Amino acid sequence: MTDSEHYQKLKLELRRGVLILAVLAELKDEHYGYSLRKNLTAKGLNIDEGTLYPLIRRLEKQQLLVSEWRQEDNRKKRFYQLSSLGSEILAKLTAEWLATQNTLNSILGIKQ
Amino acid sequence: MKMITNYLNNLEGYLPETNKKEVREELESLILSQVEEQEDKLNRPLNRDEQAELLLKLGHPMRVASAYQSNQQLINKDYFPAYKEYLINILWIFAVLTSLAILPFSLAGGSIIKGLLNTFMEILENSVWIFFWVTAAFYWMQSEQTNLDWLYRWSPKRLIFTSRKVNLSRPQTLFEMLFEICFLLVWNQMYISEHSFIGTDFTNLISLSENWQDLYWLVNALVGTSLLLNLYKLIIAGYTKRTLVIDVVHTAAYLVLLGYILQFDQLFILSADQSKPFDWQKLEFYLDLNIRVLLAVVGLISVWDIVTSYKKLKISES
Repeated sequence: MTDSEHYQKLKLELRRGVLILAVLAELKDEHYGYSLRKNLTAKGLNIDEGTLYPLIRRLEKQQLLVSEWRQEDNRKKRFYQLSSLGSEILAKLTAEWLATQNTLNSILGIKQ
Repeated sequence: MKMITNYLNNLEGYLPETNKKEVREELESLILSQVEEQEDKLNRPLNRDEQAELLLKLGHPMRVASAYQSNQQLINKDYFPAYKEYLINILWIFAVLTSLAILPFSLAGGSIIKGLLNTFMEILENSVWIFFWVTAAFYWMQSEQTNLDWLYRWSPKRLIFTSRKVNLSRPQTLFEMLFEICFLLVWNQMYISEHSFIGTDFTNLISLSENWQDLYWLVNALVGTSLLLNLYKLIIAGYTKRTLVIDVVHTAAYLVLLGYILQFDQLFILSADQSKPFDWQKLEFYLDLNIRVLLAVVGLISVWDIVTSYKKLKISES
């Protein structure tokens, strides 16, 4: 494995957990897959479609999201939103994220 | 939009059975959203190149589908679709090569059935080895974390045309195949020799009528092609529009053949020893009735088969 491949792999691993947090946070408001991706990209988080769509389904299966098929612009779309369980988990994960961020900043020597 | 539909058909083939339909619908809606958005921006429909670019960004159907798979024990979900595809292709190539290499020698022995069975056993043995080596190779690649890009190198324009598949019951297909193999064995045996009948006390012999014997190769060809078609369906684990159409035509041919046989005056020849005290005429009548009822039942099953194939064809088009 080349250095660049190694870096890409580690970067993906690092981002994996963060993506869940970002998706849950973004789905406080209702979105369908494509609009969610566009919103995340607009906010600077570029996420591959092949990663995002299966991730949303997985989160829905874990009951963190609820979904509904609806007709919009003459086409059926599946809309997702955070469930009550998802909201609880998001609050806990956000707290965890902040704590981890503080710890890491301190380890990495980044002044806040 | 043909390219997008073909992409989705391909992708559907790799999705897990449990959420196949739902995931396809969702991905279709997501792809069409992107297409619409781009078309609005350009104020014209997307051309083939633009559609291909959009699909390329989404990824190889196998790779996209792998994200929806649950993890496998031996080969993980990232590698599994490619592993399955390569395994099937290699098995096919080896089956064809083995058949070409072995079949002429096996048939030279004289018995067609024995020759076919020998070839089948040889293919089975090779398949086990291929399964072992391909699995080992993918397991090694997975352990080495080999880059998957070369496995999933593709072009949406050159994606194999695939019709939408309808699920198939493997046990039912295996049962059908077993039935066809048994039929071929009995049919070929019946043609070759006459058979003793109803116990040791009677030395009566029964054989097919001449009219019926004339159909020997036609029956073999029809049942043989059905067996091959079932084998293909078993391998692809589903029905496509093409296999369903072939199924309907094939079963219709069965029906025509059955109708043709039913209008024979004589279905079998009973070479009875008339000196024995037995009501041979009555036996002949009931035997004839039995065979005709049996053929009618097979005919009804064929009609039912055509109806179900037609229904599946409707589903595959929806």
